[in-house]
Amino acid sequence: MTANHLTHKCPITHGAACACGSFCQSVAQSPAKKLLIPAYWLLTFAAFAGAIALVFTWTPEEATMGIIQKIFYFHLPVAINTFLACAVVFIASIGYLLQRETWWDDLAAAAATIAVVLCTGVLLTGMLWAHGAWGVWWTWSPRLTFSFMLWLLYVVYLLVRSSVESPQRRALVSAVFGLVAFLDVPLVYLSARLLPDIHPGEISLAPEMKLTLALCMVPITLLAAGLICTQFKVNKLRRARSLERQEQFQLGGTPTLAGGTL
Amino acid sequence: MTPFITTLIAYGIITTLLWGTALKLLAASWNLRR
Repeated sequence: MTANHLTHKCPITHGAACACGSFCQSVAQSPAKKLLIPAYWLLTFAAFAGAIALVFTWTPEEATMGIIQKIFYFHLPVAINTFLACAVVFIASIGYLLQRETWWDDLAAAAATIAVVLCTGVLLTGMLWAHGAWGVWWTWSPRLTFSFMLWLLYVVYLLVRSSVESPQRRALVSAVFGLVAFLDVPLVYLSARLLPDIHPGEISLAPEMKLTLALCMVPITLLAAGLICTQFKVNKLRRARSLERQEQFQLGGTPTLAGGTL
Repeated sequence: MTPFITTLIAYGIITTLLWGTALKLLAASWNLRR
């Protein structure tokens, strides 16, 4: 038993001796790490609350749209972080295809889950802003269509994952899907610049508005990174639990169809 | 629905979505570690 095993509870054996080897090392928390995680979330919460206060109290209203334009300060950072989450899925998919290590698959699944959450936020806030500014909830302009496609692609990615039973096959299929789905990200970005769209191709902002946008990027990026890391940790723990159950099932000598004893 | 209410709803949606997910994940992580 190493010193590490004395400082944490093994997620597989729930105490006693450690049975998860290198996995246990990866999830073990030192006292410093235990403080670091709540501190990170507290800092993110404070930055998030500060950003909202800044938007509603200090930032000037836009001349033509009025207060509804303030949706922009969270809408754009959430959209940028959706792209970043999709990029993590893309990189993790390449990582899995090159190395065939399961943690790449866990990371890709985590980033895809958070990409769906963020993209849902982008679509909903966009619809509210569109209704207030343009008088319509939705229009099939190129950027909106590609954004909706992006949301659908990552929802399908998660559905595909849940429908494949074999872990190896699921990881392989998901990695290929993750690579293909990312192709929509440049389409969303370029659509408003290259095609006629209801979104402006370029935006010019007053210095206070630019500063507010930059300050709103901080909590949203911290939150998105924290969500991906936590989901990744949850995925790794779930995989360990599933392996534990599998091992218990095999060690217990329970009759299986494959063994021909049923 | 006034523009102010619409803006508040938009901020409410983002806050609920992101912090709701954060709380759900932190609870799941805590449960799995127990």
